[in-house]
Amino acid sequence: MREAVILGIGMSSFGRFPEVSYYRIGAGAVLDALQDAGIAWKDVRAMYCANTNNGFCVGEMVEAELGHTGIPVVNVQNACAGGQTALFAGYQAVASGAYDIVLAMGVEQMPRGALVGMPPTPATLMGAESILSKYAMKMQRAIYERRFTLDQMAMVSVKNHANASLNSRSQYKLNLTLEDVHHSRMIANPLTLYHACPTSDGAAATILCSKGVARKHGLPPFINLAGVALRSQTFVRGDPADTHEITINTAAEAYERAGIGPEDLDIVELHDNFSISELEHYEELGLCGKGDGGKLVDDGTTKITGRLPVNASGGLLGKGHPTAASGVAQLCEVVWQMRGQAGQRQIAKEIRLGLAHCNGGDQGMACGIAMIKK
Amino acid sequence: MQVPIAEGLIAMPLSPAEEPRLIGSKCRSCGEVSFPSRLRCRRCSGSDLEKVGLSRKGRLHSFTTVLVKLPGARVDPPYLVGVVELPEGERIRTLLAGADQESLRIGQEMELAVCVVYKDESEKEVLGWKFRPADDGDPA
Repeated sequence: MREAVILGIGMSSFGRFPEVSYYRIGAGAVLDALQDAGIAWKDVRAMYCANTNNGFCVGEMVEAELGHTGIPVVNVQNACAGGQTALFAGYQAVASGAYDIVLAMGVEQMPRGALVGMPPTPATLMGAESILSKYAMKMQRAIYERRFTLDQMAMVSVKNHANASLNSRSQYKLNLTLEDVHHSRMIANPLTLYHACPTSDGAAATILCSKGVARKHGLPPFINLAGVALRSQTFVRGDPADTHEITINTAAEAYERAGIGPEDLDIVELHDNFSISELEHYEELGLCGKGDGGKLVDDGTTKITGRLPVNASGGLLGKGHPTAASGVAQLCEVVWQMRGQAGQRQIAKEIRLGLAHCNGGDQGMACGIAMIKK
Repeated sequence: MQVPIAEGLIAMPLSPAEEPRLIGSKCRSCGEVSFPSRLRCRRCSGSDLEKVGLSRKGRLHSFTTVLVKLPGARVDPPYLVGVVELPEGERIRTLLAGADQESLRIGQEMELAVCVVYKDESEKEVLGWKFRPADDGDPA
């Protein structure tokens, strides 16, 4: 299959915009991406739109703001992995030769309150199952097993909020201390408020095209989408929808498709829905050895100034988490960093290889990883 | 009046000598046990499944006290939830009873209690499951 060139990117601010409809938020991000790509809406041949919360035909609602061109609109939903799912579909469309120019995007307008969305099973009705309690128990278990300390988890939140404060599109611009994280409102022991990402409104979009089209719009080197891996679960006894196996398996597939390994990466945007997730994903994505996740925050490796910056954008924790938009927003960050357009949070060294990862659906039902290459 | 939270999840005793159990499915091909039961085996996709009553005792894998009201949940905070690992290998997400955040220890033995977990819209008492610290060390 051919590679897909990332011709343009666009992203709204993330936050709370109850006065703006989701399709206007989405269309704004698309217009930014079209302008960035230097093409017109009528040049786009197919559209892949991820959304979780806003009902039917969300892609067509966005399309209706831009002018009816009759292109196929594919709406996808994969919870937090929705963005990568749209990228997966858009990548397949270009890489297979089916279309030369496509739009992949995610848009979300979310209800206020705790990150929810678990299916209404008996266990959720009686309160025995929720994303918040699942992650609180994950933290409790990790502390018991001495895998991570509560301080290391809090350090993830401090780091990502610090990065977010340098990003004009972030929902939060908070300079937190470890004590701030520890003493924020208790949600479910030992999970306090700042260990969890917010819910958000926002959109992100990218124009993907063939190399032939890209050459008409500019000179190489191009920034390429070098593959998107998307997987559902394999069987794991006792831990349905745990993120561990699925992330390891998806990462292996993503690295193979891109022909690189984790040691080659210059930047990573990963699914920090909760602070502990980032530490677990360090290990699952192979950024360090098993059991060494905590060391990467202890020694500053994953800071903007470190050897391998992780969530330079501010991550879900700081930048915000409009569910289906997050995966595409991660791609936007990697591209901005590769182009040297990341402003105050620009990473000093040259960025050539990046990865954008999200888990979705009780966090372990889906996993998507997009590989980005300059 | 009491109603089960869903059909096919809880086996109520038919005689005083029996005790309530959660119902899962067991694969006759690979032996894997699932709760709740599935149409096909989660592990091998085998179709030869039997309904089985699950062990009443297991080990506490993790726990927390939920302090916020969760949309969709019919119970009001604060309440204790946990994950109990049964000898069959399946882990049950459950409410906890007869304990508090300070007294619980990961790894301790817990025992099933079928009890009212909330009242529905028509004030019927809904029967669900909780686990509480086991009284003794008897095998399940």
